[in-house]
Amino acid sequence: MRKRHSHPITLGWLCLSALSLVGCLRPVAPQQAQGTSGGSSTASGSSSATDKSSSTTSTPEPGESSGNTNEQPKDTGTNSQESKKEVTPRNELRRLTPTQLHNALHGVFSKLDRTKIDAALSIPVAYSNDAFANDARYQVISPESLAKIQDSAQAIGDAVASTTNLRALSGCSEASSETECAKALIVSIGGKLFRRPVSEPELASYLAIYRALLAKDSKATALAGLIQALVASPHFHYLPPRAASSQHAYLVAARLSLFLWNDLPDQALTQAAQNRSLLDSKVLLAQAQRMLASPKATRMIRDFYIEMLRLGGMRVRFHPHADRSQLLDSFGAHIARIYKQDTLEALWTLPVNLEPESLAEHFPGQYPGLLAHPMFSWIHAKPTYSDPIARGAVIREQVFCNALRAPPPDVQMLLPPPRPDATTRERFEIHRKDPSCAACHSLIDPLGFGLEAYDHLGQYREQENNKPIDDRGALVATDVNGPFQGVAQLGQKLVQSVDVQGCLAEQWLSYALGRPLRGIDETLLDELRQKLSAKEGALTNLLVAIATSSAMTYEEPKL
Amino acid sequence: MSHLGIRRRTLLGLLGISAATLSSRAFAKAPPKIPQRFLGLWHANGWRVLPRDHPLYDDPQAAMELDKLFFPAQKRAPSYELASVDSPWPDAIAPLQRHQAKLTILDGIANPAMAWGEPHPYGAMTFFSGAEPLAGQMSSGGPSIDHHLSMQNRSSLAGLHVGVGQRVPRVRISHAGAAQPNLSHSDPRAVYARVFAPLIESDNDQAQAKLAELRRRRKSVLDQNAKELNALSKWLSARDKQRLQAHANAIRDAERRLDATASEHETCKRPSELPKINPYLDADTPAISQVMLDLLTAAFACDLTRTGTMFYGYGTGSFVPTWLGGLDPLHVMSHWPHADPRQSVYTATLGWISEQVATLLDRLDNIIQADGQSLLDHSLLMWGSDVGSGQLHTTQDIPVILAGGANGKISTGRVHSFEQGTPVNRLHLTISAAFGASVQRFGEERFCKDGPLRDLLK
Repeated sequence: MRKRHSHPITLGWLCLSALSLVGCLRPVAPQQAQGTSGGSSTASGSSSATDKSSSTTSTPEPGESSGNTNEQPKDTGTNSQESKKEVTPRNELRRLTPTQLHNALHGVFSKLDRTKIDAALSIPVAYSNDAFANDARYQVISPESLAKIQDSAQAIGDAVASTTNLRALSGCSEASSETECAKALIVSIGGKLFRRPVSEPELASYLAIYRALLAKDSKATALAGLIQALVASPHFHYLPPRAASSQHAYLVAARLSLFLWNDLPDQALTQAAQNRSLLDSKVLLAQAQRMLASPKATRMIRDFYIEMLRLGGMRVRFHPHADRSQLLDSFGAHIARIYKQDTLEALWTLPVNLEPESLAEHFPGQYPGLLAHPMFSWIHAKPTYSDPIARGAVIREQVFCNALRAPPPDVQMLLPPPRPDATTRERFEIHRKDPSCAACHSLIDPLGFGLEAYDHLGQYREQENNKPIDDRGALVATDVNGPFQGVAQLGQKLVQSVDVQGCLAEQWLSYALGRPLRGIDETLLDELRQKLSAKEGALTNLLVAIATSSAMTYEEPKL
Repeated sequence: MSHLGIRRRTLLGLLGISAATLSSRAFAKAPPKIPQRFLGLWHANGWRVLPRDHPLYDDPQAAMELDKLFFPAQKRAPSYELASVDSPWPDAIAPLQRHQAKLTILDGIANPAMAWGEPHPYGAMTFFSGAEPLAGQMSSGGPSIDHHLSMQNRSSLAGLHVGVGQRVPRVRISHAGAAQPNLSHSDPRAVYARVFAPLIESDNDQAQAKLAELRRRRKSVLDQNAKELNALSKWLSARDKQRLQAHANAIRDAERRLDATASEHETCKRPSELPKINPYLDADTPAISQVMLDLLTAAFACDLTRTGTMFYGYGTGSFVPTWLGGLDPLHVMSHWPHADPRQSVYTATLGWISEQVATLLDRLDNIIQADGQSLLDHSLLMWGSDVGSGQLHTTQDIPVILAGGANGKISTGRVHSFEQGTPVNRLHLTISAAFGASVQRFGEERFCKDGPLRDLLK
């Protein structure tokens, strides 16, 4: 093994970057995986790479370890799949994401200064770099996240109690007793946070918490403790897969609002759940259309594309020239313009309109389409040079829904150092020359090279190191194979690709369900793909179709 | 350092408050047994140690040149006593020589759990867990050894995790379980606020009442949470129940730690003042390191925590040792070829890291416990890295240095030469046994089949 290089000590520079730069993450299509595996395995190490690739369809479940011992076997592949007797339910237990928690608490405690809530909330963001933040698999509570939830709930309780009192907050009448006011508060705030009516036993428990505190502490303390308990409640933090039949409409409402708004149901939606009219498909459709017209939906759609194109989370870093929040706003504005036109054409080819002027001045040149937005080329770059590998890999994985294979363990990741007389593109020539690299990188690099007109800061360029930029790219192993030049032509190809349409439907459905798709989703996915072939209204139609589909309405069988 | 007079103080850090408050019933008796402490130490980009089957080792002269850079007797095999080395140790580890009687150096250890991933991120997150990373995710697939030990022996804080000189956010080398990283603090003031600022006087009634109130609130909330998890679970499949179990476990753990108290021992001192430091400024790195060492020492001495992790540099994002005249980050230096004339700065940087660890050992060794042994004697420090050779990203033969001996359970004073590729998981099993927390497997089962490293256990 490991003997590709004869004088390793004298080789100055390795391929040092994170995984993205070396590419080849997971198998492409089954037939592609064969080819890449054969081409890149040089010796004995290849067997473990194959193991990994076979397990990508059933990714290990982090939640299956309790975290306290090492005794639980980890689900690593097919064996445990076979031994599992229980039918996997369609819906899984989900936790509200930090975004959803922020939105929810801003709404419920709308009188409280937003900054106070933001300061109090310090829930860690999802740990995954690559999955959606709402992916149930990565939402396991650790002791650390529990501590954060507890601290946040306490701080919010204190903040509420320091600015208002029970009577004002519960809105109960002058004549009401302390207990009646407390009950009213639990019913109203608990009902909103839990997204369903508070049950009698729950009401009794929370009232007991309030009374026990009141027996020893001040009214303000008791109120703080009560709010703290409601905000820390698992009923707030979790969206269960099923509920009592009588409450199913509330569950549908919660799924719908968490999907379309990343927020709690509003009054109108709760009303429709309460009178169960939401279970009527016409009412559901009307609600979905009403909700999509709201700015909350615009915010959610932006958040989706940030996650889908992997522009958020740990990747966000400092931009030396532009104001980061302006860049984000401009990205959001671009997405909103796309959804106004509401076509696939707009999604991939609508020119970016960088505003305001103070932002635009940093970005002269052409930005012909979503993938040319500076957010994309800036985030998917190295600190000092563009990263065609990362860009190609993200498009491959997230826009075409291809899974790429990790480099085999024995691969020697040697790259020549940056040279002042070469372009980034020229540096990556080694991927083409070395057959073990080329197997995977021929799928990634030529795609990423098409974005070379944008440097590591997302700025348009015509030269690099005094050499003209070559942004010719090529697509292989897709349904729109062939050469293209720059993002404009790449966008045209994406518009024509049925694979890309299917992938978009897949991404949206996965986002709506809070989990990766499985075999049981095939039928629904096929229906959704059709929606995107429409000439007009394709993008919104897809959302409406998901919002009115079984993804929202499905009632799990009883356990 | 100022003496704390710990008798009338306790820990509020768990309650997330910084008010000067304290409970009267928080004074437990000093534990009858002196607890063992564990610290996972780690630095980025390895040493300059190549696997013994590396082509370069075919040349005896070249092999000798390499061994000179790390091994105390300038040779790696067979095993030998450190006391038998009469020459100064190589510059990269020279400061450790003064602790040779309490050190164990392991050669031949590998971290096979990270084998499929790029070693910098994945080597970091799997070293202390021995569990393969979750596919494509920035998390180990299981708990790390420090967390395992912290669950056996509960102090008020589950663990203290600090890092010096990393230039990337959200570093994770400790995990409570799969997808449950324990993030590290890089700002000493955050550590101080979390751990020490709440250790305060409790003599006035108002302060006591405040603490009692917060404790009541926290307890009733945790209690209610636990009940609701039970209620929720009736709607869940077996798999979802398992996910919820992690939450329930965390609640039980938090409830137990709520009653844990600080040590009343006179050796408990807290650092008096924290200088204003920018944790991301290279020139401040030595100052940050010193403060972090103070904080760790005090947290152990006060029994606020019994486990922790500490690291220097991280992956591709590390400090530039400007105070040593360095112009390049640690990671870049680690890739310099052997013959590069700038190697002396890299050597000095490794020596500086060794000096930090040696200083920590000094401090721990100067704190004498009730039984006359030092805090170091009651501790075990396990120091590793992501690679053996930073230049070539080799993941076989990653040197591991142990210090302290875990109250006499681990033998010290030797270089142990194990077979190349001995999984670090076997060391985790060994340490678990030394801490009375034996397990059959730690991390991936297939790396545990040969059991603990018996040579190390006394």
